[in-house]
Amino acid sequence: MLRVAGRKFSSLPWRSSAALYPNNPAAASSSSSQSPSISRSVPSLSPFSFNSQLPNLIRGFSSDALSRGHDVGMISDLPATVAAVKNPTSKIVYDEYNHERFPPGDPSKRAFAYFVLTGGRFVYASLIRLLVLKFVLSMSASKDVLALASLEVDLSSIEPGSTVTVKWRGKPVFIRRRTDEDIKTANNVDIASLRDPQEDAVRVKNPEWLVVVGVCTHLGCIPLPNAGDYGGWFCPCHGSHYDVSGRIRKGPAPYNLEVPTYSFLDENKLLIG
Amino acid sequence: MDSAIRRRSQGGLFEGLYRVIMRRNSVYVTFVIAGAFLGERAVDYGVHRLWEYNNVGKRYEDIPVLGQRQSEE
Repeated sequence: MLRVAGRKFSSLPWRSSAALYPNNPAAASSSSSQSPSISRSVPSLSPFSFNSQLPNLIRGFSSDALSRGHDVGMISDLPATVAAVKNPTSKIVYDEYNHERFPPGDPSKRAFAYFVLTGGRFVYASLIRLLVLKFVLSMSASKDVLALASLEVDLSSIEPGSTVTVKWRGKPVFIRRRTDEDIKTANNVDIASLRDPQEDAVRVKNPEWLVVVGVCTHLGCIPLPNAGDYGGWFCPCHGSHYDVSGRIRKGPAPYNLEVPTYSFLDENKLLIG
Repeated sequence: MDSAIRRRSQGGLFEGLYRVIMRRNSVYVTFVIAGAFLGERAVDYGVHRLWEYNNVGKRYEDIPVLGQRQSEE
């Protein structure tokens, strides 16, 4: 009811003002010739058109109410949309049944509308970021693969001087708890005489614990612990001797035993890899 | 609200912000990305608070004393 009342109120001054200035410069000549007739006919026609088209207004179809039927005469059987296409006019009529318009010349709510759209775009940007991350990170290693990549070892049961072998990534890893003598022996070596010169301090984080990968650097056999001439390991395949720090001393192997990445979680826990 | 905006087209918070931000597309895109970042943080914080308000006392941190013994391996 309010909408229809607003329509009645706004249609009269709106139509007369629309007739006063033609908003289509291309059709200026045609509209100027039409405007005297329109301005004369508008006051008489608007209540007239209302009453004749009130049933259509009630039904809510806007095409009949907005069509220029009273000018064309409604002789042909054309639907209102086709008639509108065939008779272009600069007198644009908007359907105000559902939405009221601002009067012409009113500063629009453009900024407010744009900021509402910006709010939506915040959400879209966040969504795009989430989707990209999900799809790209889905290609990284899954948790079970990562779980196999590292190994936790409990060190509390290893006696000083003994060696423990654990399996990590398919390879044996020697963990030796060294006594003070072993550490002294490891440090008293002339570095320059080694085939692969490395200080003992470089190879261990905590001198008490030696962690090396138990694969001979010659051709990949597994050295035997507590064997060999240097108190460390002896590879039975070709006779490579490794010392207490896992360095090669005698035999065909070129490099020292590899030191993997490891860290101490607690006082008694070792995380390899 | 309609009449207020109708009266002054030069003023208004939205109008001023429009003139600053929506001149150039690069500035606007930066604004959208920054707003998305801040908005996501705000929404995360809000939902987190709401979740905890709805689940009072059920978190792991709410258990009073866990003891000094080491967790079993």
